[in-house]
Amino acid sequence: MALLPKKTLLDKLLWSWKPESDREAGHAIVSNFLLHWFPNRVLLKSIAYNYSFYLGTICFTLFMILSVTGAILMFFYTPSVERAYWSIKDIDFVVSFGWFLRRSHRVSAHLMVIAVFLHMFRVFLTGAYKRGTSAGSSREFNWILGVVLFVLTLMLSFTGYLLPWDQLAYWAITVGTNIAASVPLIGNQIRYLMVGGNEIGQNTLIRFYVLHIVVLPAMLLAVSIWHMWRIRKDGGLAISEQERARVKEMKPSQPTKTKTYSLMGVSSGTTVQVFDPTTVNEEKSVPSSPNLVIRILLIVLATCAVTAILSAIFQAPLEEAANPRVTPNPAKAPWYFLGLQELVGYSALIGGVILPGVVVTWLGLIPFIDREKKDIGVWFFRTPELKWAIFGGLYGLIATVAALLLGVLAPMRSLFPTIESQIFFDLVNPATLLFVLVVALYFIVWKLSSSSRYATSATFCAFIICFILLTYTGMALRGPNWDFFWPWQAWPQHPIPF
Amino acid sequence: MKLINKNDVRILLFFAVAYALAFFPIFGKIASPEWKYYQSEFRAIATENFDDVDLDTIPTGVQQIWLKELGEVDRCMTCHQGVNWKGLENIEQPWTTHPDPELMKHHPVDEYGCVSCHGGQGLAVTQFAAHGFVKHWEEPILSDIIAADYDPRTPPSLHEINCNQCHRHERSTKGMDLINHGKALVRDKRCNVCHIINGEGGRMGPNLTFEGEKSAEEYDFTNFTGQQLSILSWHISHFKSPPTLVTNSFMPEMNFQTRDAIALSMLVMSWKDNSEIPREYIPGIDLREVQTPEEIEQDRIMREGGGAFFVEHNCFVCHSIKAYQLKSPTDKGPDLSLAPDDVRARFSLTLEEFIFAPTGTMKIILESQILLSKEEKWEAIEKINTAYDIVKNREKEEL
Repeated sequence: MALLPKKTLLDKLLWSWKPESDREAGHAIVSNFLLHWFPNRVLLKSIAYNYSFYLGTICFTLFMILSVTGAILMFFYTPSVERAYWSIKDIDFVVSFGWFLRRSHRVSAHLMVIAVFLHMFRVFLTGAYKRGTSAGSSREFNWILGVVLFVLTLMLSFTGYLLPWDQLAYWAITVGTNIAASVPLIGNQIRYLMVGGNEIGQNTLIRFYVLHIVVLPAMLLAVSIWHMWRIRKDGGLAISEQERARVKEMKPSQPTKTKTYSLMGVSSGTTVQVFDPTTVNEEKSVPSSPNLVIRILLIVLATCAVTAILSAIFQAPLEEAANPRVTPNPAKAPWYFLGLQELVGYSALIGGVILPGVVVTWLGLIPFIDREKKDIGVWFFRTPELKWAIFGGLYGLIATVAALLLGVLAPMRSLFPTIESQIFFDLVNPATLLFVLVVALYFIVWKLSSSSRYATSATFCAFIICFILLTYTGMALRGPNWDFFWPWQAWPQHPIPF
Repeated sequence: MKLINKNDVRILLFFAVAYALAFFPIFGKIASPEWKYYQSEFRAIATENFDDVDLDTIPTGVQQIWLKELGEVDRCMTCHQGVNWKGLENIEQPWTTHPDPELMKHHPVDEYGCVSCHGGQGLAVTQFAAHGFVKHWEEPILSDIIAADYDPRTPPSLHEINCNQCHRHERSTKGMDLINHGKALVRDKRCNVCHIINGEGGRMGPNLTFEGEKSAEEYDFTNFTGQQLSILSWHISHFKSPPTLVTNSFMPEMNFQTRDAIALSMLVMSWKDNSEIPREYIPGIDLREVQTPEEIEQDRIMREGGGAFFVEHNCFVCHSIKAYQLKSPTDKGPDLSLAPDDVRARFSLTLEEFIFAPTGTMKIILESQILLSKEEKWEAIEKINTAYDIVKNREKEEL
């Protein structure tokens, strides 16, 4: 190793090392990971706030906050049926900063679910899941990784929901695992596997705990690193595709003599001729450091600040200790599953199994359903797609309201009082109606516009509206016995011991 | 060329300041908890009231009593520092001495904690959370604040409910007046004829041994009309008039006064499963009350005496039969010893005619609740006639 001078142990520990030749300096720079986290230069368009809103950065920052607060909370939490609830009480009451840690963990968990949803909406609405033109670009694969991350985020949140072992946790998990049991043929086995037996108890708690603190975070970390690495491999954010197309049409400039850092160190030669718009078109790009670095820093800081402020304001709820004998009325799943629970109210099979299965599969397949190469990386409202998106949104609004009206005003069992077959009601119910209407929307728009992009876009917008409306209904409009209550109607008062 | 966008720097600084500011209230809340004020006030009170107080002996920081065997952690004495001190009787809460030093001799705080008698959330170290007046904590401190909702003039001492979790096997306990009154009523009215209490009794009504374990969701509030939507007020209304709350209830109305109903309600609410409480905390050796010789004799007469038939068929719930020394807990109906005269006077019927074709209340009872076969009806007639003869003979002898 004549290339590098011998280092003492202290040198190694303190990294107090100075390059002694151009080659050594070049080598150091090329092999430094931190300097290559971001590309050398970035397009101004790519780092604009109003293109990406930095939602991916926000998601990952929240994941980091969750990891740190979660790791500290692990020192105080006991994953046992007898102690779990009381250890949370201690965290809230007497552990220094305990309440703040727990609130931060909870606030950032909810924010992360929201941010992941928004991130997915953003990527879809800018058509950023389409393959780019640079070599090795495969954004459709990165979209699939994104869907995996989305599912992992929901699973992390769901497993964490059980850990306080209070009534909220216990019954949300009861509802969740009972939905899993409605899978045809193997439903009970799936529930058995999730619960670790026939009854929710110590086995369930330890299963969810290990999934929550080891398995799922490790998977999420690995996949998200892959996800971020793929962004570089795919040629950067999708918005750069427009510039790349322009650069391809440009005549290459005359090569000039230059010194470059290569893998082998510094070498002399001529400028490299590339399609990279940041290099070719310098007035439209800026160096990543400091321009992108400061924005990433700013987003990280803003996320931490918002989490801290929300944690200072909002209490983390802790209900009564879990009691299998007393079912809270209504027993509700975590908020992001309440849209599904609303549909489960009509049919557990359709709302709890088939629809989520179909939706996740459909989300994963979106880049393969829509292979059109137009408007990659452009917000939908800047393109003719806008009118189809609006159409889809309105259609989704009307379809959801219709399905809800049917469900609330004319329950299927009262419409068909003579039929007793469960299969009939699994097939004929408002959830199925909504599903059929949204599928029909795809084909209607496809027929009218003969564009798979417009059809997918309309369907996706309908999906967003359905999701929001159903979640709102499940969250705010359903009271005891899952009865319908308007926001201004008071729920019946709940009796207490004294 | 500008190196850094000025706007970005401004936003960065804004969030840095916001982040720092967010920590002011957070650190503030952690640095100056409520209890610090109470502890510093206590030191002032101690120096004011005693000349020789050594402030170094007064503990600081969160104080807790861990009752390993009861599975309980109480942090009440973080603020209530004067509980075990003598001479602070006239100081206000939370610094005052415990008002009952005699009681504290037998129930030292180190062994019993506070929550086991008073209720509340011993884990908490802020006032509202600790007193349990918060959502999702179902055992609030049972002080006059809550008791006044049930009787504003003489608030019942609800904490006796907690005392009776250990003392349930005693006939009467010093200082537990309401529960003692309730226990006396239970004996008087012979509730165990219809209900299993402490593991023994009849099966006409529900088993009440662990009635106190039931949660609010297990009570039917459909016909409840009271102000307080609570288990306690459900029981109070129910004791006053069982059929009003539970349609088709068999349980007779016993004209309880409010005080009686409160005492009984507290008693049934205290009937919790205390098997987790270590044996040494529970006085009274048997798992039931010790009966007096009179009560044992009374039970024997009911089971084996001439009136056993009427006990077996629950007639005695409403009717006494003095010929057979049978005393009804309610006396809703007339004494059956004089039934032949009674039915003749009121309905112009013979006893046989009335038993086989009753009218009024008895028609409903004999058709829906006490179903007798033909043979049993003849047996009843014969036994009532015998009782009639006994009473008439006795009257003649007396003359």
